[in-house]
Amino acid sequence: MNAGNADATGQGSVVDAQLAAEDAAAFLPGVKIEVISADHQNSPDIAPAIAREWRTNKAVNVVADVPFSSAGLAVSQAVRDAPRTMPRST
Amino acid sequence: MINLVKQAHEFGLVRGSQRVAAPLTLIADVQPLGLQTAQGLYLALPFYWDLNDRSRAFSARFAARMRGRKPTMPQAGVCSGVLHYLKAVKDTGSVDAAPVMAAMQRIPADDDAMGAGAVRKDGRAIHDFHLFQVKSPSESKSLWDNYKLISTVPAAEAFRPMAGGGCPLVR
Repeated sequence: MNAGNADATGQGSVVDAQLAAEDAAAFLPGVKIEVISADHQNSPDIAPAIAREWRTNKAVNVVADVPFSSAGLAVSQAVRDAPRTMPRST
Repeated sequence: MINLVKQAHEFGLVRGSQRVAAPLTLIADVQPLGLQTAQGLYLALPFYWDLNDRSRAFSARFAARMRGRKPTMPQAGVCSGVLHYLKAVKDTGSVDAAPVMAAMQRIPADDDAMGAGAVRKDGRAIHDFHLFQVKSPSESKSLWDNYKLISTVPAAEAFRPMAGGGCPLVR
């Protein structure tokens, strides 16, 4: 992950999602929690395309982080009608 | 923002006893600026790695995987938010968005990354906010020892009240 938000979010955000998944193993035993990530390149076109791909082909349940407001808002729109996908932007 | 802080330093604003505030400054901005340039800057954040024992414990786990870096506020927010979501999944036994969202609003948020918090009916997560000031080089004891705590605004006062937001979820 590159460009202006990489130090503020980027790989560190992926690590933090993994830490949360590891902590959740204590109260969700036997549940497999997988963290996947992608670089949306701060693009409001690329970001929702990734979100749509994830919800359609990867059964993703929650989308976290999504820095860069235009990209985050586009992801919110992209998953709005998906009953099993929740957006969350910082 | 980084250029403005550099110019404020260059023109001696802080040395001339003016106070400079850049509310959404992250530690990832202060690190490249350096304390010599950024010292005296005021900023407001809900997270700083050296705030308390819990934030230090969380940040040590992060640093072990990030070549010693300390987490920024958005990164800490990811850990807190994902964990809170997973607690709601546990509570409801569901991954459907509607019941999980309702549970996220019902269950108090509490974790090492962000401390105590709550998710309001409009979907906004709230927590205490802190006013920090960037330390001078002589006050700092280590590379990431960057802020001193000036004051804390309780969560209930730190965010725009729901009534003023016009959110369709709370009508």
